[in-house]
Amino acid sequence: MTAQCLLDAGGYQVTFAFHNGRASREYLDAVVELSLPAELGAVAVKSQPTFIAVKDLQRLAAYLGEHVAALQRDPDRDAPLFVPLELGFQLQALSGDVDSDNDGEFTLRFMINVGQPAEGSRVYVGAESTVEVVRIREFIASLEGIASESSRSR
Amino acid sequence: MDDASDVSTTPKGRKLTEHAKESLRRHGFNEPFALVDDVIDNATRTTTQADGATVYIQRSGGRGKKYNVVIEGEEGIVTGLRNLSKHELDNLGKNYGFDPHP
Repeated sequence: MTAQCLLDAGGYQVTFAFHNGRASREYLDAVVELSLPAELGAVAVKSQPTFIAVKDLQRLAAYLGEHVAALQRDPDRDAPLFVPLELGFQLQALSGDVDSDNDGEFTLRFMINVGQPAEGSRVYVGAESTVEVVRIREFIASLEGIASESSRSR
Repeated sequence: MDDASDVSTTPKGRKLTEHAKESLRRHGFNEPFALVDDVIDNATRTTTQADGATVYIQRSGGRGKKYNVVIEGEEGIVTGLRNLSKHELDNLGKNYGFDPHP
């Protein structure tokens, strides 16, 4: 299986390019790419190849959905940092103005793991901008679709 | 580099899951994965994830300010990570339901 998932955060885009790992079907092999539009320099950075557990995709979809719901009660809410087990990326959903499950925006900080020098620490490169809830809904739907398809293919 | 290892156990006989055979190499563990045994046998801390998997944490790096981690579930070694910062270890703990400082 190969598939892509796009998160359009307005000022930046994140693309997950997935394919099934050779050995384990509970994990997808992925490269995560962070890119800026031409007016911001057209910078693009790719993560190291990383494994992402199907459970982590489901957990990420739930994390974002829960944040959209929580912001309607508490606009100042900063969610805890989300990391997958293999640390290929990290993100944090921050405060925002959300009026309904499909209307509003909040700030999203997204970092990708670009590698680790010998005996050094991992290096994360990222961006922060506001993202519309409707774009988050699209991203959640694509994550759930890939998780579902991967589960069916086991 | 990305192919799964042919090694199915550590030198001390601990079983590797299919995922571990791929992920350990990607995370800088060299075959025959003696470092996995070392982290487990000489763990600075041992704790348990929310899903029941055991997390072995070993201080690493020249000044002992980094951490090697090995996670072992019912099916065997799940994965390992080398040279985590305290911040990374703490965030793994928050996301996977374990206390990195038991």
